[in-house]
Amino acid sequence: MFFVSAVRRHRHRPASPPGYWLPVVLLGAVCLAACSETPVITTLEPTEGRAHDVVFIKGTDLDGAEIVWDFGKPGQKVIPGGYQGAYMFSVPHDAAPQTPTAARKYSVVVRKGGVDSKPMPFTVPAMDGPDNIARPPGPNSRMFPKARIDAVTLVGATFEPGGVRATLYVQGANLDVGAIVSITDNLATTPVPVATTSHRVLRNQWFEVSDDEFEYPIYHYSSTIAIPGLRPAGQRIWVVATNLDNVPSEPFEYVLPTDATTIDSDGDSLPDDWETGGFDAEGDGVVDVDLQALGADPYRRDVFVELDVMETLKSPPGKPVFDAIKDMFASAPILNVGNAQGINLVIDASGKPCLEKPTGGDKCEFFTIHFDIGFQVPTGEPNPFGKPSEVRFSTLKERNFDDNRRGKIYHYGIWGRHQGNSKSGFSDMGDDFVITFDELGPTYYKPRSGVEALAHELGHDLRQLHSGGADYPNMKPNYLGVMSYTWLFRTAWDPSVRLTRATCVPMYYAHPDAVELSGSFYPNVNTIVDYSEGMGRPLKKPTPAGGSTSMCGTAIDWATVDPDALVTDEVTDFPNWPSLKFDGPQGNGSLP
Amino acid sequence: MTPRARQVASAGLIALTIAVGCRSPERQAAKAARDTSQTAVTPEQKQLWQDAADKGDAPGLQRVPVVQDPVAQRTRSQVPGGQPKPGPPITIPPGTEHELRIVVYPDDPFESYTGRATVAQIEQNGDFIELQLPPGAAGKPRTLALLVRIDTNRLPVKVGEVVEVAYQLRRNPQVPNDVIAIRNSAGAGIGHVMQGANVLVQAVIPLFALNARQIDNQPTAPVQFTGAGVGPKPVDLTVGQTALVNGLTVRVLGSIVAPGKAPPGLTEGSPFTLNVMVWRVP
Repeated sequence: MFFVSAVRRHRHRPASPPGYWLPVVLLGAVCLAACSETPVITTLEPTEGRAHDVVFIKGTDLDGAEIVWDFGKPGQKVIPGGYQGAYMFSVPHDAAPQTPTAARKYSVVVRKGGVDSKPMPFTVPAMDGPDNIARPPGPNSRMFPKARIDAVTLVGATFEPGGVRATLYVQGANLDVGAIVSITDNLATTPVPVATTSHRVLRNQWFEVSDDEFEYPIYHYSSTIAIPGLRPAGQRIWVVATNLDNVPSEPFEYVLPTDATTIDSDGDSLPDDWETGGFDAEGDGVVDVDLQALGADPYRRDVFVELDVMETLKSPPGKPVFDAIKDMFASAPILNVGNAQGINLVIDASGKPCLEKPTGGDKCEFFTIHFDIGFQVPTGEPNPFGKPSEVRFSTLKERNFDDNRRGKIYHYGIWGRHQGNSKSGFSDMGDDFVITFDELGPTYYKPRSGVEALAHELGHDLRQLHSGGADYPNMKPNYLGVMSYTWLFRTAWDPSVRLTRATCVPMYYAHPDAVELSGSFYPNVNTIVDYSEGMGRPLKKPTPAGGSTSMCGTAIDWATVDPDALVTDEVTDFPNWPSLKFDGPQGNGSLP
Repeated sequence: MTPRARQVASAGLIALTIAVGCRSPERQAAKAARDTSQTAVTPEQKQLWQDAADKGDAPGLQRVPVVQDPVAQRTRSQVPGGQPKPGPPITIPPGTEHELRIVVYPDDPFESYTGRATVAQIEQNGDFIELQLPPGAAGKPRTLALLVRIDTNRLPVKVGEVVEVAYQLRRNPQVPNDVIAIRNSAGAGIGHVMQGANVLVQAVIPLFALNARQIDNQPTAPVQFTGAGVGPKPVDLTVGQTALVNGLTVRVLGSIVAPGKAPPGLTEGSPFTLNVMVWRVP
């Protein structure tokens, strides 16, 4: 009724604008021009660099502004900045020193509403860049690697009879600020550019290792937003990112969402509905697992782990172990729409793996666990109260893990003493794992061994292997992560073992000077716990014509790398982070 | 309500409707796409973003924050090398019938030893036995302490008594090669042996004159025990089986063989492992 009244009232208003309309508009226009803010660059960070280097612009009034490169010169041009503002840029691929021996200074200006900032100098140095920091080389030396798309996730999607409109978050390694995303639904056709803008950049860190040690040096990770437009729901597309030098990435396969109810924006196999509204196991309207309260975010991948720790361990895991592995996942080279980087790892270690004794009460420590899922099935029937006490993993899981409520969300792990197969851990490559290095001796009784074991077995649950795409060879010196037997428990080994298992030692110890003299571990420094990024250079198996003899200065013992003599040519690195598979709990541990 | 009040209320409602409409996610996303169009560099990208705004092609874009400090430095997770706080002393839980566990290791834990040792200390009602081993390669005395229980009994030893002991710790975490065994002068004792290899495992069980071997690479194949400890006739046991022979009890805790190629990921370290325990009740 109010609305009708208002419309009626409106009818009686004069059809022409009031007399003061024009002066008001003119005054507004004058004010707009006069009040336009002048953008200011306070710092370019860094102040010098080479083609493809990402430069962070610090200043004021940079929103809605554009960046002018080589200002005032014939080569002046506007270059891409950040999302809706002049917040960063990649040094143009054709930027070069004055001469091979003389640096060249470029002027950078930020322009907003036709108003330019004061120019800020940026230097492209004459010499080739140092090869031991994560900064691109000069255009006259090593080639800048092409972009690599690591993940495509969803920012949003709407459905209509004609299909789905989706906003994609495309991220990966070595994407320039201003890289353009192209899309095709048929690899035989040329991908078509779509609306693209850069969003975030994460510079990499190498601990001063020479990029000669890397076949695919990752100088930075970055993310872009891409708009494919209306497409059939569930359509399979291939996404390509083309850098400023017009070099395209390899196509990345992605399947558009099929409907609103099953959307999983971040691709962690937890539907957005669960991450926002909770998981209702019985469908009775009662939320059984409130994922949001546990920190879940539909736009950031989440991994949930229930870890039951046995009693009477000599080296039980504690807060340092759990904090370190959460930090490992949170600092993964994965950019998200929101501010938090990496993966949100949630660990519930509040329980113990117990069984009820026949005489009453609980027994929560067992001499031997038989990991009876998958390939390793013992033939005997263990007696958890026998002599000595033995128990199946599945028996403990059945008693201690609420599979109905948590089974589709959580991985389940037991931290125990020792396994029937005598191994330090095992996973079913899906959603179950066991950690059992408690009897391996005092050199293992430190947080870093615990973190490495947990990262390794959980990595298996996320379907990562000892050799990247395979299990063998499992001691590759160039596979730089904890899935390799060259990193798992490295500081706990006898020195004679370290001498035979080469790796990039400075990367492992996070220290440029790290060495393992006579096999002794490098003391008084931290160690890195990480999955591989896939940077390492291929190592050629030696032949009479030559081959690779060292990695980061450490001699390679090929008899250790390839004891079964199955390697015919070379061993290669593998990127774990982009290859993580999150569907283990949903698949209930079924193999890929 | 007076006409004036109705006018004010109507105007307010219209303003509210417009405001809500302007703030709808779709409109916000379209605005974000238009703003992005303004900062696009090429005419093609400007047009693509404008089209995205006009067609409503950018759902969720309103959620993307404009980040004024979009460049960060990756910091890899690092773990210090410190030792954890020592936990409570390990004891044998009530009701445990068999236990053999090392609680104090020699200074060089990888230096193995088989031979005589002197009982230096007994605690925990006899469950805890500290042994003094002869000096090792470094020339210093070595200490080894065990928790021992055999069929609910303590191993009857006295401080100063000489016992036989065998100790070995795997150097390679992926290849089990562990031995711990203790036997008193009367022959009572307990031993635990784990061994791994790339082929069928043959293990020596010291102090009890026993050998164990995997005899077939089928998962259900038994482990065969031979030697003076079990007498002239070999004893075959599958995983989980226990046998009492000549007063000596042998049990197979685990025996893993590799019947062909394991599925990817379902292998960890040695493809063949053997895990056995023996004891002679005091």
